[in-house]
Amino acid sequence: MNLLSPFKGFRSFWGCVVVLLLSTGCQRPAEEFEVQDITPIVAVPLVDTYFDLEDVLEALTDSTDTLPVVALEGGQLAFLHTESFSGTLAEEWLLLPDVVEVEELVLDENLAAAINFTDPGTVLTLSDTIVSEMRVDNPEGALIDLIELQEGQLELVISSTMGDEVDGQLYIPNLLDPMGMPWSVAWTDAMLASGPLVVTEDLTGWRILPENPNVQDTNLVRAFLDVFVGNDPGHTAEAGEMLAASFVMDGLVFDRVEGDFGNDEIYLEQGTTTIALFDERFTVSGVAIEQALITVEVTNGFGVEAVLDSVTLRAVEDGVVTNELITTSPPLMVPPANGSFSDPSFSEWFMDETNSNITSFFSVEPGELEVSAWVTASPNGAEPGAPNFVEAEGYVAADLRVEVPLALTVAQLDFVDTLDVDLDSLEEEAMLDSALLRIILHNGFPFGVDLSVVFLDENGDALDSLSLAPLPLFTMPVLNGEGVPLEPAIFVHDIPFDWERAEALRAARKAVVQVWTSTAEATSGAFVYLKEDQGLQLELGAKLYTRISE
Amino acid sequence: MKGMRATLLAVACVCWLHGTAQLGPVELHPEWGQAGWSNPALLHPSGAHVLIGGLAGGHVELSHTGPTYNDFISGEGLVDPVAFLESMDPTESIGTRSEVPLISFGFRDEQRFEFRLRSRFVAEQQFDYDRDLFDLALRGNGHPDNIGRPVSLGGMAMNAQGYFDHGLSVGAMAKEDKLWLGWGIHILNGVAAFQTDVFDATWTTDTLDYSWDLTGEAAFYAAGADLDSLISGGDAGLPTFDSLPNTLGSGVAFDFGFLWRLSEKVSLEGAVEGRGGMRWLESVSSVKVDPSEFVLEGIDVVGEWGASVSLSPDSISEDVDAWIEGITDSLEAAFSTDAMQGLPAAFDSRVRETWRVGLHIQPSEALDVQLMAYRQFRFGQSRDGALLGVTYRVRKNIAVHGQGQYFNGGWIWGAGLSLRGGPLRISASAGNVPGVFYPLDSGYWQGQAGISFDMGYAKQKKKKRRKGDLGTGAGMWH
Repeated sequence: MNLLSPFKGFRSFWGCVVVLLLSTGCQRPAEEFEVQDITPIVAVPLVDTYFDLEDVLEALTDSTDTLPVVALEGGQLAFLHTESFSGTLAEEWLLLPDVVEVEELVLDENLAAAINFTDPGTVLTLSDTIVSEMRVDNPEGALIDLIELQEGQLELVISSTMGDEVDGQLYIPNLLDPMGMPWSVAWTDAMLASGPLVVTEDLTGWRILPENPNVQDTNLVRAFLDVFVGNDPGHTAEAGEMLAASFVMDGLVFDRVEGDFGNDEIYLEQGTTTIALFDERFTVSGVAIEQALITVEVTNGFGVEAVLDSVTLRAVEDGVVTNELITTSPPLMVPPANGSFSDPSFSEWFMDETNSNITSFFSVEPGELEVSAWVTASPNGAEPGAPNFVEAEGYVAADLRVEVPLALTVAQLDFVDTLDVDLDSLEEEAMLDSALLRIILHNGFPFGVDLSVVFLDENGDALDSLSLAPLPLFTMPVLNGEGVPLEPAIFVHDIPFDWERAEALRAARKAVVQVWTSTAEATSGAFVYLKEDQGLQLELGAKLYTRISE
Repeated sequence: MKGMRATLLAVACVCWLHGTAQLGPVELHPEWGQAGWSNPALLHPSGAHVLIGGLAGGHVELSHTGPTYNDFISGEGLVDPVAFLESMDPTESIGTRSEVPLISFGFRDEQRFEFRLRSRFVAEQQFDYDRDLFDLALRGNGHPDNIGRPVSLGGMAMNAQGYFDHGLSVGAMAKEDKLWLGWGIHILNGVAAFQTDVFDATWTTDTLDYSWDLTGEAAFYAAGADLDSLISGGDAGLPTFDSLPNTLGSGVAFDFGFLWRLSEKVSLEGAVEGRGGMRWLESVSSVKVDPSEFVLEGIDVVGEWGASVSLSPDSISEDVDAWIEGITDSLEAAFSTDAMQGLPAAFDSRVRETWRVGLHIQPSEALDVQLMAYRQFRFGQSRDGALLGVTYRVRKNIAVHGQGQYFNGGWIWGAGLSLRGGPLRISASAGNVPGVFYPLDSGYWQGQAGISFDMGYAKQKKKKRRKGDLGTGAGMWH
């Protein structure tokens, strides 16, 4: 069978097919391919974070050395400055004197004759009283009823030049051992044969009970001396022979002292401190704060009632007092500790805008402050039956707390700083044509902030800036009648970057950052209230114009 | 007239279109061997026929609905990604389908009854991809057309299955020379399958802060492949054909058809082919991602690091690395996979199903014109089309076919050739003829070749048949 025979009558069709095959059926792909550059635009979120006001101000505090911020009850924020006064330790305030006393029993002619005429075997008794006054200079004039010793030492020295037999005893009724027994000592003539008799006593745990019989005689410690003289027939007593007794109590350290300590001052603090709402990089005008509070909390570990009547705060600039805090607040009575230093009393002294010029004091940018504070002991004297006391570990101290609630009005607060920058180390990403950085700020603060950043080269010439005009970074939100934002205000700004611009920025060496801030309706004196729940949401996104080449 | 026919066919050949041909001459006319399986009411022209396994009815189809070579590559080889994107539809697919007959034969009792048996192996795969995927890659999520728009990747899907199809089909005259009815049944033995049950992914980039919102869910099933192992980078464990593969899924599909002779020259036919599917019960596994959402909003500097963050470059780099690692962990946690093995993961899959209805118009003994509308279901997608086909019997033993299918807004041109010499028949067809001539302009190619022994032809040739008998071989066409 001839398979081609059917095509004879259909030549035109097959002719067309052949022509088509010859003309178009030889499609071949290119031997080499080249892909055009692909330029996808990648939009990526970079940052989405939320700062509340406390976070923001803490960050500012870290960078500007301004005050830390705390949240008060109710969420309102406040600047806070605290400082602990150095105070006074008991061992520094009450200093025990040493007791040094020497007594000599010297024979005169009559006494010598009396001894010579005494029958042998008969004892002639000679008595004397040694009185020592423990004079306390610090606190001055303190009357001491009791000293419980932590440590101390007593030394008694007896020496004799008498030729007769001399025995004796010494008795101090004001010095009691831990068992309550008075200290005493006795000696015989034989003890003195080889020289002076020295007796020492460790006074740890002993007590001294000085006597205060009258106004002139205070803090007396008495020692009673008895000398027993027996006539030695072989010796003729002569005038000038003597027996000397000296005792010394030194190294006295008290555990507790009771008495009437008088009206001496107790030191709390004297020095300078820095309280700055804004440092020198800020230019402030029209700043007013509505409230402020100074609290001095006195901790009294002395058994002494005191009065806080001398707190002084002065603003000083270049050694010149520029402002002084004046208050009508009455002096603070500080109760004594309750029986022991371990149960001290706590008292607080308040000073606020109602009883002082505190708001104006802090509105004028106080930088360096001179602070001095004392309490005066026993302003009403010691009560009978309730003596003053101090203990070794007792102390009087105080804490200063300056609290400025963030209810303020700021007509203008400008910040200028110049930062070192070095963009030269940034590596160029060949895959990136350009980029667009988007900043979105949801401002929930009751104030606005405008920002300007200008980049300078090493000669101080401007290279570039964040934008031509200052950016209203924190757009002022709408406030309610109480100065609180109704809802955050949104600021959106795109910052284009390309490699030409980036290349120019490589020469940048400095960046001048300027910030302008004001609170809402500050010109009318309206206060705004900064609260803990007021925050700022910061979003950063970027559009990356990439290029993918073959 | 002949010149005009040739011109029409030539025009059909030079026009290029791409798409997926659904009904080629193979399915339309018995002379290409498979018509009785597409519509069991159609009878084979020979009294008996045996198709040789491996050759007869071998079917290979490669389809691609996306841009063609010339759409985005110039003659000099310059690839234009933007042109590629602009040439795409919202969802495109690339797929293959191949059929390998093992054995097929049929017997016909004149025009009254025909009995057919066939075994074949079918492997088909389709990968659907979303234009937005390329849009994101080429233009980025920050492009003005994409930012703020939910970019959906819901069109992404991968489906594949391989199965043995053992079919029995009969066609019978229901009303003397007026109506023929047919039906068929397919016993399906599945060998392997992968199914995208759910895939929904949407990426929205916020126009204000550029934050990303990712939502999605997914569920995949497989039989004969270990998805869990695949996810962890291991071996899929696909079945091999070293020996007869195990049957992992089984099912049944049915065919129904009719042929109604309206007049001497006009017939109406309709059919449903392959309505059914398989249930995969053996060696199955699934991976599921529950509906979830992940939002990327940038680094929460205060929340993550608070005041401890250091501004040194090294520290920032380390912190950002840690943040990215955390984001990755969160993303994996948000879209965590849940793998299941065994019976709880059993799933169903459908085989290709075609509905068609149309007219056969036979203005002369040698010419047959087909007007057909169809809807085809495959891997969860349906496609509609209309077909205009012309079959011309050049001689009694040579038939040519040309057709145009209107599909997906364009035309697909196909052709076929059937030659018979004695009891031997050789047939070939192409679903996209321009695609053969202009492969760089075509995203689709389909070919089918067959060889068969036709028996009973000579005997029937001696019989005197009435003019216009349908499905009776020599008396009708030869």
